[in-house]
Amino acid sequence: MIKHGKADYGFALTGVLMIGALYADFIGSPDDRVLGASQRIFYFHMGAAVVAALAFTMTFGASVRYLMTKNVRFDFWAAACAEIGTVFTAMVLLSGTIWGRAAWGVWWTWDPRLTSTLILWVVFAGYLLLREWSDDPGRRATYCAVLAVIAYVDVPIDYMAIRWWRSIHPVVITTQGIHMAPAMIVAMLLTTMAMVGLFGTWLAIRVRLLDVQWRLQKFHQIRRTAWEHQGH
Amino acid sequence: MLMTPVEKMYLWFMFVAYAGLFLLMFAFVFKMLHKSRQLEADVRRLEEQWEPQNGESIRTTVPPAVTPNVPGQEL
Repeated sequence: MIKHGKADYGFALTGVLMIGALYADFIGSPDDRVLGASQRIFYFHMGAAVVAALAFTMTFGASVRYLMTKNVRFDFWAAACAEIGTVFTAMVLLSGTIWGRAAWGVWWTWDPRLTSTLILWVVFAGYLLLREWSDDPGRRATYCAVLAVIAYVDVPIDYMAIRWWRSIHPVVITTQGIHMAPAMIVAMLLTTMAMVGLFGTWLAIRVRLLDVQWRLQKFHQIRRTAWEHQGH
Repeated sequence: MLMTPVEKMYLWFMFVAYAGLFLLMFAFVFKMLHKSRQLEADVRRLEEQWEPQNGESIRTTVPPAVTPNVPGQEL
């Protein structure tokens, strides 16, 4: 009999949320008065941005915990979050350029928000490269944790960029609330929840994979030591 | 609401892109879920198989059945 774990339930919930999000985005949500159907790109864009911010915040938290405790499990969490965060940031950039072409008439502009998001993606891509280059797991984890803590500085800058500097990027959520029609807010929230669900499931699986990989490495190491001890 | 054929096509294209991306991510996570579960089971089995042997030497105190009759450096 197949034993169902938390990941299975998370996976099923994500599927339901995805169907709900598709319904809300294409049937429940009206066209924008100015942007028309292009408004729907925004739901995907926003959901991906929320997941990226969440993932990098978790990377930061796990990296700090790793530096404090040197517990390798925190390194797994940091690595998994950084990987997923980088993928979702790529989605943010891609959906943003498509939306920008429809809204502003250009694919890319060196706006503070766009630039800081690109920097974030490049820095975390570097973090992933650093993980691949080093063979020593302890040293790799320490270097990566330090890099993640430094890289995280860009996350609040990215969020505040449209509030601090002159920017053409729209501000959707302000202290006065969300400036959108209620049906659009529902679509945005459902898409965001679906993406957060996907992130949670993906994260659980990735951490499990990293843990298994580490156990396998340790197993080989023990076996090799025992083999050498026996005089081979 | 009335839509021009181009607008309709654009909306359909967007729907296909959206649904396709969701489906792709869903399939990817599904595949990873199965692979990770299989891998974990394999590693656990390996660990369990290794556990009883761990620390045990294949060498015993029984004298060798064949003793070399040519004196070597170690004899």
